[in-house]
Amino acid sequence: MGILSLLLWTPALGALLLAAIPRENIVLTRLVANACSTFCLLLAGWLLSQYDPNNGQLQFHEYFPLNPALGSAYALGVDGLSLPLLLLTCLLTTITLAISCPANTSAKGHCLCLLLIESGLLGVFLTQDWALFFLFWQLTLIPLFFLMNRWGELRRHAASLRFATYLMGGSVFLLISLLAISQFGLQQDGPVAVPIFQVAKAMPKNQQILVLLGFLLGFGVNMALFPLHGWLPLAQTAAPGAVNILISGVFLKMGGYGLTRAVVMLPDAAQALQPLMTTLALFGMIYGSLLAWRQTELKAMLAYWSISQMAVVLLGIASLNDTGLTGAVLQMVAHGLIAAVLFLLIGPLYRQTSTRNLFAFNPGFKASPKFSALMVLSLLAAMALPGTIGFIASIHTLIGNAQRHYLVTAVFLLTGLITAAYLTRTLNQLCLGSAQQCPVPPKELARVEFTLAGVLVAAIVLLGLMPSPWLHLSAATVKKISPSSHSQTL
Amino acid sequence: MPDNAADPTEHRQEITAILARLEARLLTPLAEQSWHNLAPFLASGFDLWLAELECQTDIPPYLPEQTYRSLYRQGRINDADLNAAFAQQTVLHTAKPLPKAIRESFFRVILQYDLPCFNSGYWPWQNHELKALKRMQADAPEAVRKNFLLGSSQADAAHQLWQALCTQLALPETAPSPAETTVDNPATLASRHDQTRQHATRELDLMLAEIGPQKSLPDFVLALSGHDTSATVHAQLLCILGPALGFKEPSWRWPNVAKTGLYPAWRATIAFDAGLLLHQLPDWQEIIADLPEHAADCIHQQLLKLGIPKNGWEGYLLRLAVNFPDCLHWVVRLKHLETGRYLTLTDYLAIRLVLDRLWLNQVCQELWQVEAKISTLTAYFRKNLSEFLVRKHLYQGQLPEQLATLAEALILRAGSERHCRSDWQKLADLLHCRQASDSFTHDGWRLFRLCQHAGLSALTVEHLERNELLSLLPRADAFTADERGKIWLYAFEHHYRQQLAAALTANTQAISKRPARLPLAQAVFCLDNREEGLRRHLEALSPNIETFGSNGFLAHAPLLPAGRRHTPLPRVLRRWQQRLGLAGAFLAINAIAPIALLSLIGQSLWPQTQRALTRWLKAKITQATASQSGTSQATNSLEDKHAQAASFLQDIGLTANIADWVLLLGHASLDDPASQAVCQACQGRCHGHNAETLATLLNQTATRALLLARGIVIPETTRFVAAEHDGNGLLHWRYCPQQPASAALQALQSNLQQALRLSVQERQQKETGADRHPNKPPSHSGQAAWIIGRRQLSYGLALNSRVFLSSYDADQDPDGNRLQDLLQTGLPRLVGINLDHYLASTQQANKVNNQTLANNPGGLFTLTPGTCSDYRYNLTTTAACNGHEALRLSIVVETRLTVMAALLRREAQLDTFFTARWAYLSVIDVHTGRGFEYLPGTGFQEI
Repeated sequence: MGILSLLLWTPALGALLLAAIPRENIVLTRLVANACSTFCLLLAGWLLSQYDPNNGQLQFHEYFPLNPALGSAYALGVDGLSLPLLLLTCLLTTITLAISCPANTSAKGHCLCLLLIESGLLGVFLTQDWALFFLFWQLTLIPLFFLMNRWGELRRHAASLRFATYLMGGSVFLLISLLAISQFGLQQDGPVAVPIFQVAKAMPKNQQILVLLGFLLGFGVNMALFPLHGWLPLAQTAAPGAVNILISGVFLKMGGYGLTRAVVMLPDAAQALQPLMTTLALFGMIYGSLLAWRQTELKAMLAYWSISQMAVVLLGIASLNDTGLTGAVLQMVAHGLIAAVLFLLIGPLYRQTSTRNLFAFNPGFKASPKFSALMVLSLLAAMALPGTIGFIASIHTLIGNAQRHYLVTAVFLLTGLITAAYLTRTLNQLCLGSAQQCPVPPKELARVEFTLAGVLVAAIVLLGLMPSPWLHLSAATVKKISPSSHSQTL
Repeated sequence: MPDNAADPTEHRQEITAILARLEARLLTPLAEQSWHNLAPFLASGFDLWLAELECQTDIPPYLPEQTYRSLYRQGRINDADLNAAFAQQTVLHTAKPLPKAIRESFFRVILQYDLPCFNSGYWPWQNHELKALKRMQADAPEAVRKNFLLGSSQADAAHQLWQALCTQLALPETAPSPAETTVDNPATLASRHDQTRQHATRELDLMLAEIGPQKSLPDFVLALSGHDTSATVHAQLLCILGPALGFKEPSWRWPNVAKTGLYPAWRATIAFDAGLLLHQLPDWQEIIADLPEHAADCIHQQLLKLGIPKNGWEGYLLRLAVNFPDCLHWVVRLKHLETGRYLTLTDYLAIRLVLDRLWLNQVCQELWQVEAKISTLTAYFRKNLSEFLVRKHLYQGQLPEQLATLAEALILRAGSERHCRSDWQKLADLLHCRQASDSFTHDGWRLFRLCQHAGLSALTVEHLERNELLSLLPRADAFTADERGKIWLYAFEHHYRQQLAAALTANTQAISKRPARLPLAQAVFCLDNREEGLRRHLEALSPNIETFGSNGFLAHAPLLPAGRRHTPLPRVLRRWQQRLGLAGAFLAINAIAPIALLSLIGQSLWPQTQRALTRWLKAKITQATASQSGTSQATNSLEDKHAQAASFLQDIGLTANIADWVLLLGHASLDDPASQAVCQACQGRCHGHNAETLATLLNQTATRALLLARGIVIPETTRFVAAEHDGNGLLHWRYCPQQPASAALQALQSNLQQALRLSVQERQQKETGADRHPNKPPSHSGQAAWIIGRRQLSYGLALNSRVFLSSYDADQDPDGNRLQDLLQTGLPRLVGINLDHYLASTQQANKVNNQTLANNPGGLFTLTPGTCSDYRYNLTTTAACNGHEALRLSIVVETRLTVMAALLRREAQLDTFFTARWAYLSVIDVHTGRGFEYLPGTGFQEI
């Protein structure tokens, strides 16, 4: 068994183990779940150490034919595009499991769902086969639905139903597009082991456009792109803290990852649909920011902020050049880390004050210095301030798109301004007020929460101060797959 | 349809008249400013009201007996309480006297221990597994063990008692085993078949007679088939009525619903069966096609089709109305709150009857191949009495496992008595035979338990006569669950009242020794029980602050500007959305988006200007609203205001020794039905501006001069300040002059802030684990007592947030007129609120789900109309979260005994509250500090 298989099946095995543990044994349940996720994180770290960033090809490739007639195979591989997201998945799942496990008999179901989600997410980022890709894609949706429905807050049933409706609806278009590519691959190459994301380059342009539109719908729902974002605000406000972290941190990135692959795979269609994608991205950025500005509920604000940030990812993808794609990949990682730490910090705040209304508390820096320090750094990173990974991602996306049209730059900057406006307001309300005005001042963060949030914030700052190794990680792959370089080589 | 064709107008009038009577009964005309209209039930009394409520809603009116027994074990009910309760229940003593040996303990044993009926599966378990004949009953109390054992071993004592009972009752010493009892004996069974038929006929008649106000036709079918059509119909009704009631968004728009009403719109769409709900039901197309246009005609038609006897129509419709309380409440609410809405009780009942009939037809056709009609069902079961008996016993869960298996197998195999008739008859005969034999042997077992728990040894039993022994069980059965509930409730309340009175009396004596001094500041709170914790924390933080409780914010509301409620923008938008439709609302929201954007830009760039502008706009809107509602301050004359202010101060006894700073603290709530429970007394109104108006008034020199003429001396240095807090503990200073700077004011402000924080935390701790909305403030406990007296009476006592306080100084009210006002204003409200909590608690304890009817006993008490509706759909949750306990209100008044007695003589209606047992009254004499309890019919008795 290769390292990738080991990584992929460890959480699934953990879920199986959990199924066998009596639900009353909460300690063992938590132990097994945390051990599995930590083991995955260690494996991912080892993978990072072994990965050759100068090689833009798939690495650690594993292949085992499953159904040659359909062209499906057990094909795994990792490159500069999937590795950062792989690391993010392992890190955030470990953090989620460490902080969110309920201390009652429902812990078993909770941990089991989280491990299944991790398995699904890893599968999506590792697999190179269309059937497996879709299978793992669907695998992430079902446990998320149950997590939201069972452990969510008020309106959780409506939220989970809406989540399922949107995502399943999007999956239909995704499946159609994947089937179209698979059929095309079979007709062209026969049952040959060609990774799914390389098979469709020879497809006629009109067919490519249709397939890319299908992908845009399928992945767009997952990315919560305007106007397919309807599920996200409700899901984020109703979901429990763990699901918030996973949705914003990794789940949205599945769509971004898929769309990046799709754009690379269908270069002609990507060129044709570039204006459409850019328009959607710009509109989504403005729309998400304005609505985030209007929110007074913290989770809702972060949900709309996520919509705006994912639109930035789309803008990076729509640039179709190296810098833009690098910006998109970085933006996904940056948003994943920042959203995760923000949701992680909101959890204890809500537990102590029973409210997430932005104007209901004003605790002040002195009341909880650790909380305030982490919150300030996270919010500054969310504003894309220099010195944080948010800035590196934004600047790449901006440069990637700057030459195209002055309107793109203008809208990008305007979005930045609006984002700064509402995040500054949030910062002011949460960290700069007087403790006297708060009915129930939040206590300091618990040690575990502080450590985990600290790790994430450290990553945000470290990658912001020293971005070169991280950029180098994806550079070769981005250069290889970028449509612009592709057309140049052609 | 000859009836329909004859004269539809006449039928319509007939149904309309019935519905009008129903509405009058369910939705009694409501009086503004009245919490509950107790009048219809005031004289009949609490017990009768509970009995009627149980009859109509099937909700047990008392806590489960296990809960009371658990309270007894915890010491929260003791023997003295039970003695007091038995002494109250005179009916128990009027019957034929019991044998001397058991007279004292008989009712207490019945109260505290179960005497389960004998069951063939029960005896082997008791005998072989629990060794019932070799040891004393495990739950027998220690105190009676000695009497029972009399020095012998447990095995001997138990065995001897059983032998003695068997001898006395002529029972076999060993009960037949299940195998023996279920062996078929054809000769015996055949001879009993006639008896079985007679028995079944009697039971059938009884069940049919219940159809009407007690049971509906779906209940009848459920009892005989196990198919609950009501569940399906309720789900359908929620889909149909939900949008009109605000439960959910409509799946699609009803055609012309605003013009024609819901029933015609539903009738027009149901024929298409777009949801494919009806397509499997028999004859649904004919039934739908046959529906008349008018809802009242439809009710008439369906009642005829279901074969409900004409004289039972009103009862049947009442049953249907209260059987779906969620909807009923909203129908009631809509009728009174938002006139012009398209849903009425008539629509609901018409749709309900049609759906009932559709689904009942399906069950009846499938099982018995007959129409869902009383006459056809009666005819069917009269022909098939054996099937009736088997089904009834099976679905009532009365059969032991062995027989239940036989019955289930037969139903599965034969379906109805049309097939395998002889098998049905054999089984029915067996059931009947078993009933007779069980009833014979289970008497012995019940007496066996009764004797052990009463401490009767074998020797005592042998000295009793057989008739005396046999008379015990009928007496035990006659002591029904409701009567036991009454005893338990009284005992529980007695314990609480005793404790409260003892604590207050002791506190009075302790306080009287304390030297009087002028406080640093004084703070007046609402009487709301939420303020009890706040008051306690404030006093603990700063003993120099004196506190008062006042229902002034209620009583003075007509003269001061009425409490206004927030109407947040989203709610306004929702209303507009309903009016504009989806597309219109979408456009409207987007059209006003630029305004919101401007506001956001202003908030970010020029926050102070934006805040000032918003405040100015709010003030303008508030003024406009006030002038529209006709409650403008300008409508009150200056004289009225001064009288108001004087009355306020005199009511709470603040006429002398006024400190330099006096705080008037109002409270606010969010504007949703759930949050109205935050202040039950004020129904969610915000009273900060009432406090502000009063404070401004009392600071005016002219007012003070006029008050001086009334004997109220307010020192020149005194300043009245006003503030408002909400359920989340946020404090907003409404009126607080910055000058002169004062250390006392600063201390008051900081202590109040901290006290608020502590009280919120206290309430949050109570609600740990509750599923609360992020923005919903923590709720507070229901009250069980109302103290009318000086704060000193309860000062320093932690009353667990369960007490209202109305500050009252008896010395300033020699003739009791102020007390009379206080009681007349507050008593109906507080009794009503407490009954809400009482029912919510019993409902929660009895695990009655989805029955909000009892939260606010709609038809029995009525609702307060208008925007001040007291509808609180989550009261059950509130009760559960707060651990409120089902107790009637206890009122403790600190006054002179003679004044109170004279008041009760003078005001018969007030007296009725106590004589009819709606509340309890105690008096603590203001001069002697002695406590007295008011016993109806007897008068005051010292505690």
